[in-house]
Amino acid sequence: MIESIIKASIKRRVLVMAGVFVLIGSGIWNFQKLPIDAVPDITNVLVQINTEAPGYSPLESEQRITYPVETALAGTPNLSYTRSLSRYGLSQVTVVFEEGTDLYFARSLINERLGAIKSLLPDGLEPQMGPVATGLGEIFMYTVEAEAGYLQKDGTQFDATELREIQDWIIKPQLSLVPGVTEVNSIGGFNKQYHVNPSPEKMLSFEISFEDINQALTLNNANVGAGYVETNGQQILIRSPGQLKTIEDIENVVVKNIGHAPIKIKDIAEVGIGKELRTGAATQGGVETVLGTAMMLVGENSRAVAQAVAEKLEEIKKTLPEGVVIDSVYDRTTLVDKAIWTVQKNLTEGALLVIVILFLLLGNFRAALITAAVIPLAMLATISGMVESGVSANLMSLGALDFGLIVDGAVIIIENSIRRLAKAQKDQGVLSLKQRLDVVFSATNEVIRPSLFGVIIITVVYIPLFSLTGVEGKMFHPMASTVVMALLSALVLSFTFIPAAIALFMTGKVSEKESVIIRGAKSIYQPMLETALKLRWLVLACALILVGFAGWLSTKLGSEFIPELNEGDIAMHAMRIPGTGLEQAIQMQKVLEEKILEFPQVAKVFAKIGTPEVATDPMPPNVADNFIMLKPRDQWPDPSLTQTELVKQIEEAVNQLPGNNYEFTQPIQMRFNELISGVRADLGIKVFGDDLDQLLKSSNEILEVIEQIEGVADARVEQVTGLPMLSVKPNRVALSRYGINVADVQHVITTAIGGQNAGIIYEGDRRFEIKIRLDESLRSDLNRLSELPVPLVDGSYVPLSEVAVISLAPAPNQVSRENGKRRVVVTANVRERDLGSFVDEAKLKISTDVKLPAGYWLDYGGTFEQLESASKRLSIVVPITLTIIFGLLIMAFSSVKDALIIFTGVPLALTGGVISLWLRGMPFSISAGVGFIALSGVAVLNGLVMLSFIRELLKKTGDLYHSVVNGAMTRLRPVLMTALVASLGFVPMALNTGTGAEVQRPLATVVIGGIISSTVLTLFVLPILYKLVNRNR
Amino acid sequence: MKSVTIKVLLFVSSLLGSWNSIASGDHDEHEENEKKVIITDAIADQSMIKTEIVGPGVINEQLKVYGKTVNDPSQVSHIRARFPGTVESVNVQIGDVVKSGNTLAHIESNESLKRYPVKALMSGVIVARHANPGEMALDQVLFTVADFEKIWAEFQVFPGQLNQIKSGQQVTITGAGQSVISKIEHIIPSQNEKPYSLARVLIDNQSGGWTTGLLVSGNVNIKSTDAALVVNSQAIQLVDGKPMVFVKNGSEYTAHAIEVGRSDGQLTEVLSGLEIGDEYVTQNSYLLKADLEKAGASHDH
Repeated sequence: MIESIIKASIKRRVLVMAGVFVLIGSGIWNFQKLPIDAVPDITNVLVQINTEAPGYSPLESEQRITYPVETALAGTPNLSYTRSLSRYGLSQVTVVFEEGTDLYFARSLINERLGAIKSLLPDGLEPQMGPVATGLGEIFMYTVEAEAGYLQKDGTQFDATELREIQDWIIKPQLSLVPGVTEVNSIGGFNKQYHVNPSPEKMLSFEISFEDINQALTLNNANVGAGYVETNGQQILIRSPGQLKTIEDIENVVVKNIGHAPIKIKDIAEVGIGKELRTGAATQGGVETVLGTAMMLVGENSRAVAQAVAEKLEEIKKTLPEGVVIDSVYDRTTLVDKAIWTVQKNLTEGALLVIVILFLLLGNFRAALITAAVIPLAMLATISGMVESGVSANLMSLGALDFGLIVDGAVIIIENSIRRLAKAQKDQGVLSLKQRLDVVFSATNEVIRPSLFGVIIITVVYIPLFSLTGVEGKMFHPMASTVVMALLSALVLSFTFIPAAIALFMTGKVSEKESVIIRGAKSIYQPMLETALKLRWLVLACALILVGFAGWLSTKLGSEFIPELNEGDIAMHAMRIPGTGLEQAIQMQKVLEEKILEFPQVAKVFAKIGTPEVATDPMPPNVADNFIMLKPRDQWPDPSLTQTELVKQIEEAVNQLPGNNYEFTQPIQMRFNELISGVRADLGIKVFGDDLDQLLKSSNEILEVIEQIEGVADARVEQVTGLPMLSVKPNRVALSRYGINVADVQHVITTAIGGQNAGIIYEGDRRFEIKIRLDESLRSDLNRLSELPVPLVDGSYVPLSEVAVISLAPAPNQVSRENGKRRVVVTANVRERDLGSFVDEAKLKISTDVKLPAGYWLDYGGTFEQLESASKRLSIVVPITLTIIFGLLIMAFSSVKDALIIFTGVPLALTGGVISLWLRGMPFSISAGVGFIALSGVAVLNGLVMLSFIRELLKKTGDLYHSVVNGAMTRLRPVLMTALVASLGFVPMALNTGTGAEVQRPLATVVIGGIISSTVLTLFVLPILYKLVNRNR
Repeated sequence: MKSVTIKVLLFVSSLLGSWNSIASGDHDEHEENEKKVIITDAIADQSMIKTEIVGPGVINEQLKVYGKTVNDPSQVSHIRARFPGTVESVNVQIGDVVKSGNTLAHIESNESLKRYPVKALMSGVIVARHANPGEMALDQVLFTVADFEKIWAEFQVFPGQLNQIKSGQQVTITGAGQSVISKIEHIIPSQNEKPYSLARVLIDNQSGGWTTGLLVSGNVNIKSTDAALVVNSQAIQLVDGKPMVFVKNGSEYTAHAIEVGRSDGQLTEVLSGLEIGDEYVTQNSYLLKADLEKAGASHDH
């Protein structure tokens, strides 16, 4: 079949060329649609259910909200697991679905279930699903700030409340319309509220309760429509406007009549614009600010959406009040562009190197060009394939592309065709068209089998990657499919385009100058090969020793999941003790950010403290996510400073500041870690059980154990306790004496301290709550709380201390649950040691040193999970794949012996990979694993090319020794070429230091090292083995 | 055999001894670590950590009570006609200021048909008038004269507060936008079996600014203590549930556990744990607590 295709391609060569142009066209067209990102989105199918419960303490929100929600979700189809978090004022349940579940299907399932439990939840609480976004969704962040010297219309300074109003009502509505944006999340500033602050004395003296005020406000703040009347044929609508509009309107609401005198709100209360009891704040460069985050809809093109957001913001800037500016602080485009630039640079440089090598070794410029043309053609075909299969262009998907590998098949064919054409010309002078076509056909046909098999084998070795599931699957499927697509398209090109192009363009005199390099190589190779054949046992022993050494060495290599992508920016968690207030945190943030800004490498620093409006990332007020944006490297005083080193310096500097603990990570990485396992660290040891105290005790024991292990960093127990809580416990006996209920007292406290909603003020589209609450000076003074008057039925009062016991005591800070069970997590990061061995040691030590009571158990999570599950799966699939390769080889040679000989190439190739990893001090990672996979393919391909030729010669001549030597000599060039192009194609990748290069580096390193060793093997060990095996024939 | 046993015993005991000493050494160091924070002055400045010197001070404890203003019963006079008769003339209107002895009206007695005057028996203001010429004056009240120069504030003192309130204590009375300083005259149980007592305070109302029936609040100076050692209340932080104050010594800040005495919200008396002249952290002492506990959280277990 292949033969007829080749024949047809040569015959209809112009048609083939036309087909190629179609391919180019479709590739370019598809390229416009190709989604571009920095990394593949690895977050699982998850839905967050947030329930805001103002005033609820962690225990209450667990009991009243989290538990019913979790229970309702049990038994949802495709549910993988749930985890939850109950904090002050917030319950968050994260539902993770099985891989492959349609997100919208999952959301509608949850919606249905939530609808069913609405009656079980406390009144007024509404569980809401988080935005339709993933961990990669936070693509753009900006701050809203007022420039110095500008005033508002009314002559006052812009403060955090106004800026927040601008964000919520001017910027957000416009930005939400940008296609691809699913949510604009705000944090910082204050939601504008109208506050009615009654004076307790005046309330007492007029015998007015909070309830009276509330009622007066609700009953005097509505517009109603009253239908219409028809008068003289005209329809007239009737309405009665009664909404409150201004502070004055509120002040003039009558609460009560005493005698005939109306008591208005202003007689008993101060009315003004007040600040909400917020749960989060934002700072930039030490100053409080309002921060907006644009979140991208699942599956959109992050680069395009981020750009659209940036453009829209430019438009919005024009509509802002004078003096208010938007500062974009984080733009995903930057990272994506940098990463893509790295990939582009690697690919272009690789392609150029490959072309140069081809030219040098082939010694024919046209031939080199034809081969080189395969590169862009295959690339364009791959792009079309990527768009079709929904793979985005990113560091991972493009990270394993090696044009050297891709053109291998083509190189073999071209090399043979040229050799044959040149030979034919030497023998017969200038060839006729027919002769030329025949030569091309037979030359192609001669090597098409090995080259086909070789390429198929290289393709097959990528198949194990498809077996990965979960996070690692999402990481490596795109990589595998891209490479496979590239290889297959190159394969198809090599028996269609290549022969057609040779037939079309290799007219005239085909010069096949054996280039100097090849001639030099041959002159060295022949004596060496002959010597090696003599000293065969020594050579074999050396090879064996090498393999053994590499095997031993590989156990010494560490392991990690994938190397960390260097995002070029730093994310730093600043953690304070639980119970730290927002205002205090902002103060501490100010000092911290000023310190960080002292570094000349830092361009910007901004932070989110606590929980934003939409609780996609709920943090207590004592935790701040700091984003440290770095200047481009060339603006650093010392551009050669590594980021790790810089992080170390920053850490040192900020450690001097009192009261903060830090964790360093990167913006995307942080969200990934968090969303994937709910744990922000490399290793999370989860302790499950019922009693919080026992959980904490066991966790502390575990912490003690892992702190002894070498390589541990940032080890800590989840902050579950230590939230200072003032409890006002009603004294029932005392209450009965005064004739009031527990609820009455609680109502007074909630209104006085927390505030009570009393309607909404509309200002056009904008709407603001009216809150009844005690004045800040009264409510924030805890000493006075005991004197708070509780009104009695008869109009008199009793001080709070008389009917309740007020005490200050620490209480749980948060309650975390997983799969319906409480848990406490001990987290640790690992530095200067590989993750795998650290986890093993930790598991061993914990199992021997920590005794858990009955009903309590442990689970291990964190990024190491992926490494483990990937390793497990690969350990099954890789042997299967090797067997398949072996089967293919047997098919190709119909000889087990020959197949075995070729197969010996694999261990020797791996040897080089291991040694090169070791030389560069890199641990084993899944990326490196992909390198080894690619390597086995190349090794087999080399062996195939060499062996098939020796076999042919042997069949023709029957002289074993000469067949081996001559065959090896003839195949030196293609073997060298394939080896050189494959390894040189990866050289830029191995050496690049740009953004994202660290992800690709191990792969490239392995392939380069492996190809060197595999080439040596193919050139020396293989002939020896073949001769040994066949000596009895 | 015996000597071997002894040797073994000695060895074991020495082991134990050394272990003990190691352990206790550890412990001491641990304690030290736990209570000390080192912050350079530059950083302390940046973090706005302020200090003051421990010294003596006066602690004014206050308690807030609420009550109403009432008339002095001795300052209200209800005037009736001595003999039943017809009111002939009335000389005063509501609101008129009268002096003791002023004639308020004339009445013609039914029996003697003589005209006799009704006089004010005390100075004050006419607050009620139930007499017009021609009306019969039987035994009803014709005029009420009240003197508002002195009115009383009756504060409700609840059982939980009663032990702190004593007569003679100074009270700042606030109500209707004005305030005045006075003293608790006496404390009486409330009528009608209400659960509270009444602390009565006299208000000098010569200016006439106070009225009766007004709800007033009173800040009672419960006790004024001359304390030998006081600290600013914001200096005190709860560390491990115990009140502590951070004492500065160079760049070292040591947490001193203190025994807290009286406090008025501003100043707090220190019974033990500090000495006069100690430099202690007032503003931003929370940072030091935060730093201390952060260290505790990651290394203490």
